[in-house]
Amino acid sequence: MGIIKFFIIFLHANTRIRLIKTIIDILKQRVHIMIRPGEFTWLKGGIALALVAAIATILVKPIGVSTQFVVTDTIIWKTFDKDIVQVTEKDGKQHYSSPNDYINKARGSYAHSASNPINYSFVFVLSMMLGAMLSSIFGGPKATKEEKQVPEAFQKRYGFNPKKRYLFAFIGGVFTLFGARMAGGCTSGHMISGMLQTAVSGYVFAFGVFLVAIPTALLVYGMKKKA
Amino acid sequence: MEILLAIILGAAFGAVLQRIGATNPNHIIDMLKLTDMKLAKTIFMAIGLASIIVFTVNAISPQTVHFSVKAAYLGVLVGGMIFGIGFAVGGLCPGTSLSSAAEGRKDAVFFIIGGLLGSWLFAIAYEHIKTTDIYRTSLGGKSALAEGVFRHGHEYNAIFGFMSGTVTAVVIGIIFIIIAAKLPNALRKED
Repeated sequence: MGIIKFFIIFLHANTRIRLIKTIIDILKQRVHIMIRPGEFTWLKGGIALALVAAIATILVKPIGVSTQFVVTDTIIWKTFDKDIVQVTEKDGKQHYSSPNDYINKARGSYAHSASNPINYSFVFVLSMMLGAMLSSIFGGPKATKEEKQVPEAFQKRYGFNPKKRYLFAFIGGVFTLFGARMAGGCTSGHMISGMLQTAVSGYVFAFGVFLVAIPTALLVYGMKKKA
Repeated sequence: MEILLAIILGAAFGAVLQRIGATNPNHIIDMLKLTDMKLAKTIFMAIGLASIIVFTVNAISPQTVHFSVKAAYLGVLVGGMIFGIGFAVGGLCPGTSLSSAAEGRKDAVFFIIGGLLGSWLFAIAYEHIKTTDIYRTSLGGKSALAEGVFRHGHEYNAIFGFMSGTVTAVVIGIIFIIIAAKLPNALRKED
C-alpha cells in the first residue's frame, strides 16, 4: 500500500501537491493545538521576544541585523569590482582588507564576512527570514493579497496605490539603513539588544528615532485623506 | 555549534517578530501615529524582562554573558534621527523588512532594495564623515547604566557605578514592564 502511494506521488504532480497540502494542514492543526493562531498579545509576545533576545545575548551575542545589509552590499559589490575585498596571507592566516574605508573597518570584518557568509550573524538573519515565513504559514497573522502590496495605514491616507507605496518603502529603506549605519545599529542592535544591556547608546538611539519618527508619521500618515 | 544556534535563534526571532505583528507596517505606522500602542507595549515588555533575565544570569555566573555594548557618539543620535524618517515613511525597520518580505509582502522587498542602497551610500560617505564631529563627539562612549557588564574580562563604564548592576538592571526592567502594562492601547484617536 505504502509503495503504491509512493508511485502515485511520482506519477501525478497534482496528487503530490495535494499530499503536501494535507501534510501542512495536519502540521498546522498540531501547531494550533499547542499555540493559538493569530497575533500574540503584548504580554505573550513580549515574553517570547524577551526569551529569544536574552538567550541569544547569554549564549552567543546580542541580536543585530543592519550590519548584514553592509555584508550583502559587499557581496554584491565584489561581483562588480573584485578589488573591493583584498586577501593577504600572513603567517598562514588570511587577512581581509578593502580600499573602501567603511568595509575596511574593524580590521576588515565586513570584507571577511562577505567572503565567508557562513558565519553566525549572516546565517542568523537568513534563518530569521525562514522563521517568519514558517510562522505565517503555521498560525501567525496572515496578510491579505492587498495588504501584501499596500498596508491599510497607507491606504487610509493615499488609497490603494501600490506604485506609490513601493516608492515610499524604497525611500524608507534608504533613510533607515543610512541612519542605522551611521548610528552603528538598528532597532534590534541598539533598541532591543542595547537597552536590555542598559547601554547608553541604546537610549540615545531610541531618543533620536522617536523624536523624529513620531512627527514624521503624523505628517505623512496622520492627516485625513483628502476627499 | 555556533551555526546551529544561529539557525535556531534566528528562526525563533523571525517567528516571534511575525507573531507579535512587527512585520506588519500598519502596526509600526499606527504606533508612531500613537493610535495603536500594542507593539510599543510588547517591546517594553520584551526589553524589561530580557534585561532582568540577562542580569540575573550575570549575577549567578559572572562574566559568562556575552555582552556587547556599542559606543554612544553624536552619530548615534543623528543616525537615529535619519533612521526615524525612514522608519516612519516605510513603516519597516531592517529586521522586520526582511521578515516581512519572507512572509510575502511585496512592499518590503522595495524597502530592502532601498536599504541596500542606503547602507552602500553610507559606505561611500564614511570616508568623508569619519573625521567629523559625527564620530568625534562622544555621548558617553561604550558605557552602560548598570555595573558588572563584562566583555573579554573588561568592564564597561557604569553610570550607576555606586550600586549593584543587578539591582540597577532589575529596577529598570521592572519600570519597563510597568510601562508595558500601564501604557494605554492608544494615546490619541484616529483622525
